[in-house]
Amino acid sequence: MTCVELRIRLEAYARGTLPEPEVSALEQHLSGCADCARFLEAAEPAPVGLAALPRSIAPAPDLWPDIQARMRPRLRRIALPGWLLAAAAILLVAVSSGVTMLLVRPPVRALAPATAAALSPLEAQYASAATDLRTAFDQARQQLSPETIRTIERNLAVIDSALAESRRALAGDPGNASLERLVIATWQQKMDFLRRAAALSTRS
Amino acid sequence: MSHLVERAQAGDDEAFGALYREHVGRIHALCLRLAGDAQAAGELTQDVFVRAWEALPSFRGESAFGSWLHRLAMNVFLGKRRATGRRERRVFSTEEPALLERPGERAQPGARLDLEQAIAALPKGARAVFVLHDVEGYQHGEIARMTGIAEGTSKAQLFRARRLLREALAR
Repeated sequence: MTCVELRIRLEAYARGTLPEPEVSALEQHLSGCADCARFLEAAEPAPVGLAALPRSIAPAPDLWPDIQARMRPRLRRIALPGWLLAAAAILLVAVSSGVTMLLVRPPVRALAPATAAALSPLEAQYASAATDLRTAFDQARQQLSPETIRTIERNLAVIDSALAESRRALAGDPGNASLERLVIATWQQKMDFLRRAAALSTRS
Repeated sequence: MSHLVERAQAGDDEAFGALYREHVGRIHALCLRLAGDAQAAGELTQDVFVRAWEALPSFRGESAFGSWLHRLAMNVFLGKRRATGRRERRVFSTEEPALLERPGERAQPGARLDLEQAIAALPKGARAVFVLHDVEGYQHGEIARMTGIAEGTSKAQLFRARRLLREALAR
C-alpha cells in the first residue's frame, strides 16, 4: 500500500468498513512509514480535555471487603534477616570469649554437673521465662524456612552449651563474681535470642 | 521501600488495606477506562489487588510501589483479555462504529457525551490503545510490546479512536 492509498482508505478504516486484507496492509504500512504516522497525528490530534480527566476515581461500592475475603494468609518462607545473623555473630564472639576465659583460668576443683536443684531463684525465673519463649517459638516455627530454623537451633545450642559450661565452672568455684556475671549474662543472651526468634516467627 | 509496603510484604493485611486505600482510585480509574464499564472495572480492580497481595513478596522496591501496581494492573487486564479470548488484533469485523450508541451506554437524548463516556463507548481495541497512549502516556512501541499488536496497528487504532471520539463529542 502506498502513502496515497493509505490516506484514501483512512476514512473507511475509522468507520470499520475497510476489508480485512486492506486493514493488514494499512497497518503494516504505518509500522514503517514515519510520514504517514505524522499525517495521522496531524489529522487527528489528541482530544482536548484529556488533562482534565481525573487521575483517581474511587470505586463504589468499596471493594476492600471483597478483596480482603479473597486474600489468603501468607505463610512466607523467609531467609534469615541480617540483624539475626549479626546477633548470632556477636553471640558467638561472646560465648567464645567466655569459654576461652574458662579454659585459661587456673585449674579449680572438679566441676560438678549442673542440676535443676542447683539453680538459684534468679536462674529459676530465667528458666521459666525461657521455657515460655521457647514454646512460643515452637508453635510458630513452621512459618520459618528450614534454613532459618536450623540457624536458630544451632545458635541456641551454642548458648546452652556456654550456659552449661559457665554453670559448671560456677559450681566448681562458688562465689566467683566473674563466673556469676557470666552465667547471668549468658541467660540474658539466651532470653534475648529466644525473644527475637519468637517475634520473628510470629511476624512472618 | 515504605514501612507500609514492608509490613504488607510480611503478611500484615491491615498495612495492605492502607496501601489499597492509597492507590485504589488511581488503579480503578485505569481499570474503568480500559474495561469500559463499571462492573468489569470493579472486578478488574479486585483482581489487581488480590494479585498484588500474592505477588508482593517478589516486589523488590526497585520502582515506586504505585508504578509497580500500575504495571501489574496492565498485566492483569491484558492477561484477562487473552484468557477470555477477547483480544482484538482486528476489531473491525465485529465492532462497528454503531457500538458507540450501545443501548446501555447511550447518553440521554439531547445530552452531550462527555469525554469519559465517549472513551467507554469506543470499540475495545481502539479504547485500549487510546487509554494507554493518550491517557497513560505510553509510546506506540511500548503498547505494541505490552499488548502483542504491531506498532502500525497501535497507530491506526489511535487514529480511529480519536476520530470516533471527536465525532461523538461533536454530536
